Amino acid sequence: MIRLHNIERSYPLGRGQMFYVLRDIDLDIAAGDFVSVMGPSGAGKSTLLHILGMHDHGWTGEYFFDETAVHHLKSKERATLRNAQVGFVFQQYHLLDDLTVYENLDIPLSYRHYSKSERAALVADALDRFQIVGKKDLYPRQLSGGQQQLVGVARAIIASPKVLLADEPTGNLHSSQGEEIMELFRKLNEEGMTIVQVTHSEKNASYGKRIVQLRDGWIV
Amino acid sequence: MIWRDLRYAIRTLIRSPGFFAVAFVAIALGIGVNTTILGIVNTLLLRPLPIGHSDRVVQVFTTDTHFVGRSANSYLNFLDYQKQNSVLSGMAAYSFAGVGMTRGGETSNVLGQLVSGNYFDLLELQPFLGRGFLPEEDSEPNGHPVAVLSYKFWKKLGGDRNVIGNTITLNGRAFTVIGVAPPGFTGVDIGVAPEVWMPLAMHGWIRPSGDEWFENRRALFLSILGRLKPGVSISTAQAQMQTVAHQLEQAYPDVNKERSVVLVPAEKAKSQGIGGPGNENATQDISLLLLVAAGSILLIACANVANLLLARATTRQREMAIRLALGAGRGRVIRQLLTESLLLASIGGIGGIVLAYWLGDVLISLLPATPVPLSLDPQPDFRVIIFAVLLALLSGVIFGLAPALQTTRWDLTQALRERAIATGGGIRRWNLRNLLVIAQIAVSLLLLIGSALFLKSFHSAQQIDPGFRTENLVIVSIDPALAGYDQKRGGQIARDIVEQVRRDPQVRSADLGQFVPLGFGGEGRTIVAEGRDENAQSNRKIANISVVTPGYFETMRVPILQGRNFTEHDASENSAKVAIISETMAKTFWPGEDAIGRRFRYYNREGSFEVIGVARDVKAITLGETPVPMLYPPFRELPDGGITVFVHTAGAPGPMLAEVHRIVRNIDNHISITYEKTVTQHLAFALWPSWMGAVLLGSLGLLALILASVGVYGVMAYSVSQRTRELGIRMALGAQSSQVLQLVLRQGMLLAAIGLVLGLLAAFGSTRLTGTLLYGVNPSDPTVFIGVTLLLAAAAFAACYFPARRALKIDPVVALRFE
Repeated sequence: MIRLHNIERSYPLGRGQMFYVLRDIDLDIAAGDFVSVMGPSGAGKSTLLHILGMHDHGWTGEYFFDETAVHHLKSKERATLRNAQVGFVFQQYHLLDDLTVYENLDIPLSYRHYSKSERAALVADALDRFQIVGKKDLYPRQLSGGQQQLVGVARAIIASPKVLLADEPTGNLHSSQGEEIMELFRKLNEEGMTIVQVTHSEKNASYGKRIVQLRDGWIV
Repeated sequence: MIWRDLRYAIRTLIRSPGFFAVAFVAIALGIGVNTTILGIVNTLLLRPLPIGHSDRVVQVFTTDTHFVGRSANSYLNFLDYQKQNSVLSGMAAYSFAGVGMTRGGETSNVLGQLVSGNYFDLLELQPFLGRGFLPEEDSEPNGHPVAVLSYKFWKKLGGDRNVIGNTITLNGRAFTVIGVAPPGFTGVDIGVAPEVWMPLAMHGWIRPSGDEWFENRRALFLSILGRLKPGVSISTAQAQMQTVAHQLEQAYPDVNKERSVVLVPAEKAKSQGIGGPGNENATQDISLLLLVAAGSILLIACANVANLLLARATTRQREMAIRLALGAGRGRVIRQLLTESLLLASIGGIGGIVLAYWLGDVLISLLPATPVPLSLDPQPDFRVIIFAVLLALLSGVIFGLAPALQTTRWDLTQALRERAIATGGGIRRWNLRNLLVIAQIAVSLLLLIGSALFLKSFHSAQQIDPGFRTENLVIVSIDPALAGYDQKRGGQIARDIVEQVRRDPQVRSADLGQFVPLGFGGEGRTIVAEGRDENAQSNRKIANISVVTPGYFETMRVPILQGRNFTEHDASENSAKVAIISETMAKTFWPGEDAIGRRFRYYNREGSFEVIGVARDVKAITLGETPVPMLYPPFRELPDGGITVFVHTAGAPGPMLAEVHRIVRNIDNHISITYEKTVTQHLAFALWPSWMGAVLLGSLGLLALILASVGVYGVMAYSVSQRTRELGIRMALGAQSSQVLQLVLRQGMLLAAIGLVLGLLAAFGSTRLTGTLLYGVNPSDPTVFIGVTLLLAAAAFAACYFPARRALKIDPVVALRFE
């Protein structure tokens, strides 16, 4: 489903020198896979995830998504592809403070040209599925960290992406909340969703089917 | 303690040069514009007359049921008022008179005033040099040729401190200088500045053709001043003066019929001449309009600075939280912040005052060349400077208080947390910043609509057909009486001048006229149609009189609509009295009838005129006027106030000005040339009030547009920077560029729309104020309202668009790492 070949990401340091965050990355991720990306801080894990999520455009190399050559796509085409195929879960949840739980779930759908009635149905499904119907009118600040991340996951998958990318999804949660989220990921993966997560936790990594280790930008 | 606050404030401002520069410019503009406008209003209304106890001095005006507004007085009535009233401790009189002053062989026109012998005493003036007039110097006709110079004129003549006792030549006769008026005293009428004063009894030398006015109780030419006796109120004085006027009406019913008096405080009457008869409150209306406009600019500027401070307050939230945590009371922190804003206001205020001096010079340079010296001095004086300082400090409190209160209101524990700082300020939809932007836009729209109305009014004024030739015309006014010519000789010399001018091959025609349309000259007289009861009020109407030579109507391109033009015979002394009248005069006196062959005469005078022609109306005094009755008798001899040579040229009229000047000088270099302009220059003078209104309000409107746009831009740019995280999340969740653009634009344009609606409501509500000052423009003109609203909406859109474009450049990867 995803094929990376010779992906490199660098930043200029001045005087013509470059700082490489990712070097010569070759990676294949099959449909239905659950990959955990691990490595020390600064290894390039989050950068890799943002490249996979097509947020980052400053890389070189080849990136195929379902046989589509992402490296040949223009920014707008990448955005369209991302909106159709990818969901994102953040460590900091990144819910919009001034929107209710319901509105936060509605946001990705509103960017994907769903009709109002379709959006209402999908949000209702998500609220039901994640058992947060009672919290739909609450604001993020009125929720616990675990609840906020639950909403974050619900928001990431509400538009039925093929791939879910998660950047340290349990990093701000205590262990029981973290487990709850990881169980949810396992369930989603069992239902056929491809998942790539970045994690520092061996335990969370074990929920995946395989682990990719990064060090100083290289896959080791 | 205060010093420490001040030192810290200085350091804070130095550390933020960008913020300081923007705030300084906004405050300096706001204070500068207000100081300038107040300088003008001060000159027109507020600055007290430089006379003793000016609050006890009144001006006496004649009211006549036939006239609009207030009029001057007759000399004989003045003498009776003096004798018969018991409420005024003294009464003085004055009358303006152009005087030809010969110096070094060259005669130039100076503005003089004939005044009663007690004029300087009544005004409690101590001359700068010498003395004022003695009562006996005003007793014997042409017996005491003495003069008092204005301070400015004395300076212009060289400022010789030994001037007392010297002689000057006025109208060809020697006058002894007995005094120099105190600096700053230029009479009691704002706008015009007499340069020399002479006793009223000298009128025979100064205004020889006006002798009959002193014997005619009907001739209204004299301004009267009175000083209230101690303990007498103006209303008591008015009641008694009206009783005297009533007695005079009964004693002289033929000339004083339906005439009375009104007393107006001199401080109030000083500027009423600017508006003209019937429009005495024009100065107040214009002043109010300008003050409102300038005040609006200051409010917009204050809103801009307040917004900047609010934005800064967010970034300084942590600093203030630490101060509060360290034990500073809220009042202490507010004082620190207010010290900063007051310091900012003071520096901006100084900049504003400097700007006001510069703008004052600019305004003076925009004043038109006038036939008489002007005394308008819009430069700020002590009173205006004090106002500017207070205004600056008040502005400092206005724009500093709300941000100070907001900065110190935040929850301490929240503020000390990293995240609260990163997202601080939030995106509450109705916060103070947004309300300030709404207010800015509303006020700007109000001001812009006012500006646009005045610009359109100026455009309309330019389109108005004045009714006479507007190209290839030269206007040169002369007054041979000022060089000692009597009416007969003066008439002949004027004819000689015209004859010589006609010989120039560049001249198509040249003629004489007493009245300069849209200018000055001429006289008004009460006319009675023959065969009607002259005692019936409805049968008497005022008409403007201008004696003209036969070719005048052709030279001026004023068509004769009915009847015939003058012949040379009509102008001869022994021919029958005939006249051409304007169409408005024909309609006024003989509505629905043929005026040709009808007869009329001056009220209370023998000898009637026959109407031989009806000419098209011309604009007499202002471009916006409804036509007034005009009466053109044939030119026979020099009228009072001089005569004007009108020259129709074959080519550009500019060079002909010099040529006519040369011809006059060749014939007699003592003849004073009182006015010389091409018709284009002359029309520019007529258009000056509407042009000035357009320039002043147009500038203020443009300034408002810029300041409001900067305000909207600032708030939107700040909002985008504060929403970086939110916008990054939205992009990460799939928001397209167009959707982010829309989101930011919608926020800004919602504020703009509310501001525009409020501004429109305010503009509709304030049409009364502008209505009377506009030419041919509906104060609710829909094209102006719609056009200006769209203009401001476009400016607001641009101000929102650029920050919105910047929002598109937010990199979600970076934005999401913001925390």
